[in-house]
Amino acid sequence: MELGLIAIGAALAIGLSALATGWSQSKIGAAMAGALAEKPELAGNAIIMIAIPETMVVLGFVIGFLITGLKPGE
Amino acid sequence: MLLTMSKVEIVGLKSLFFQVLETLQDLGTLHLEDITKKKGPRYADLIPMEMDPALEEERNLLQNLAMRNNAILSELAPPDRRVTRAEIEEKYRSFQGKTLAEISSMVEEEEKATRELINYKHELEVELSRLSKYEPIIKKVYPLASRVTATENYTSVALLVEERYKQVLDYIEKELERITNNQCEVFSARVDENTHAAILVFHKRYSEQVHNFLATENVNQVRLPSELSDKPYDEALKEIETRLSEIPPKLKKVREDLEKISEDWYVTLVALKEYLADRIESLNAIPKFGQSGHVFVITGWMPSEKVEEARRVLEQKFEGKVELTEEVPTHEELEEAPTALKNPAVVRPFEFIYMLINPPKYGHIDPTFLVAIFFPILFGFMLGDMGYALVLLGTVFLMKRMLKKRESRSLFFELFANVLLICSISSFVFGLLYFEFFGDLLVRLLGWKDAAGHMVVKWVWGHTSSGKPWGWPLERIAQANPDLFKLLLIVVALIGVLHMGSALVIGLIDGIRHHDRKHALEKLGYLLFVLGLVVIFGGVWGVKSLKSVAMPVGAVMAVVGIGLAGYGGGFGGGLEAALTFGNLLSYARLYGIGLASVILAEVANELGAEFGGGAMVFLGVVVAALLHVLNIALGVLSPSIQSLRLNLVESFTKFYKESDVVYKPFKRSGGE
Repeated sequence: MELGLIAIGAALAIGLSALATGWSQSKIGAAMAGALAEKPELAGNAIIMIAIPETMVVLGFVIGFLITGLKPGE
Repeated sequence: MLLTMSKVEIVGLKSLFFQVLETLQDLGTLHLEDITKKKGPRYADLIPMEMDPALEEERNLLQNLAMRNNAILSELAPPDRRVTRAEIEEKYRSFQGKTLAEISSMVEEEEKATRELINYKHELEVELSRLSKYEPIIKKVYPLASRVTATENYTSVALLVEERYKQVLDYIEKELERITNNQCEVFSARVDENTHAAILVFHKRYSEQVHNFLATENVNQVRLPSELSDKPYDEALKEIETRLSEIPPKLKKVREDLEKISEDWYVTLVALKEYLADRIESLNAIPKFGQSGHVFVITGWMPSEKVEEARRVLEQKFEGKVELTEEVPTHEELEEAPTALKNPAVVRPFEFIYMLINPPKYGHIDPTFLVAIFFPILFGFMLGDMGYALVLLGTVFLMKRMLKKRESRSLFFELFANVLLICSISSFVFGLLYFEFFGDLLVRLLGWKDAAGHMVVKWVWGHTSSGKPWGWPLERIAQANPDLFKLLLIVVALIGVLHMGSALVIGLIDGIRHHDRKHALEKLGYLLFVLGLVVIFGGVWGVKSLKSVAMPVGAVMAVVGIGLAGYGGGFGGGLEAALTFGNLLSYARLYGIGLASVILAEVANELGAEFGGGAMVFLGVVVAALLHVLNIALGVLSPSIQSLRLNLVESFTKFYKESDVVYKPFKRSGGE
């Protein structure tokens, strides 16, 4: 039972942060696509802006990893 | 590294101004400054130079000649033989002594030799394109047209109607009967899957009413070229076909004639294009200069190593009538100094980063060497596969060959191809460490897997806390060995510490060099905080015997770090120091993305293997290869973006100052 909860916890950590990243990237991506249509020289900034929210999923990954390291009963 | 720049001032007799300008353009090392924007007593007595009407007229004439010359050039393909840069340079020099009238007559001569042929070529191309559009439409109507008997008093109109709107033809027929008092006939048939064609034949006296009606109904009328409008459709079609067959050989002949002309004129046209562009550019620069009485004044920046050469050339050419002096720049002037980069060949490709952001500010440290060290490490850590590295290497070589053949090359792609070349080497090295060759392909073939499907450690480097061995090959999918999983995460965090630490050290040095005590203390605070974290986690996960000492020492270092950063950078500085922990965790992406790549590679191999032996082997290889191709594409794109991000966001934000002024020497650019 506890093992299952640990697994669910880890899945939520990575899953929710991935959703958050995806949502942010969709917003930033759309805005940057608009900006690029006007100013193509912003391509470099666009890549960086879009990559910024990925920190969330990376942190989710780390938390997920820490949770999977827990042992039932700890 | 950044080139050391010298602020220079060139003063000379006004009568020599244009010769000096030409010499400076030939030297191509002076970054011009706009004297009209300069303030201070040094510039108070100077009057900005102006374009007088004669110069304005000269510029207009040059622009006109350039436009005419470029129009001819755009019509001529380069000759088959290789045109060398030396040829163009020689021709360019031959223009330098010529008057505007001489150049003007040369352009006229060019036009005389090419105008007729170019016009004829245009006519043929326009006709070919026009008739090619008519041909398929008339072909559709043709089967119907053969059923229409032409009589003198009757005229016809052809219509094309989409299949789904074909009922409109019944309506048109009724209306036509009404307008023409039944002096009409409508022939219609389906001519292809989506189109119905109809020919309306009616008495000529109703022509205007019928055309007005059709115009209001907005139906698709087939109109013939004006010269064929009186002819029946079958004759018109024949004529169009005859003309369509005649044009291509004529066009070929014209193109061959133009190629012959190109052999004789191409070098002249290219050299003249560059010469005219350079002359226009030098005239455009005039309002940036200053004058007083009998002398002109040009100010700007030049790499210090080039100053002596410029002084010598001016001295030799103008025998002391023009003087170049090195000025001591003020603090404000230094802020406006242009940035010029000069890095060794291995580091230079990483200057591609300055095509995404502005280059570093003059007087600060150029971090290209830092990018050159860490970009390949970060990339290789993520991709880390010998097979993928070899594919990437091959692709880059192919890309470089293709780029070499192209006339106009993008500097970004040229530099980035070299970056990928270096990254493919680092990926191979990390691939060797992980012993990955298209995922676990080599491990499967060698049978280096245990019963649980994990790599067997062939060279034991140590044992984890749970007593499991680790070493070479270093398995990235470490479910069986959570301690190894932790170890790899610690490794990426350490890479982060080194990467960010180097950035902070640069920031610290920068602060000290510019006597900016607060800036230096802020960076020192960040550094202390990061080191404090290293001490704390070193005690928890590393040397556990020192845990009791490491914890308080690390905590003190971290708190002092936040304090120093707060003192140096205010509330934001303190907060930023604490957030550095998040920056460090951000490096976990190195492991996460690498893990995704290796799992996809293993899935590709597993899926391929599922097809079994015999005849299915081929199918299995195809499936695995397709997945590997996808993984390589993702595996190159993702690490490139992530390495870039880690450099720009995690590292550069710690010290980087962008330049507003990039070194753009006044030189012969040929309008490029």
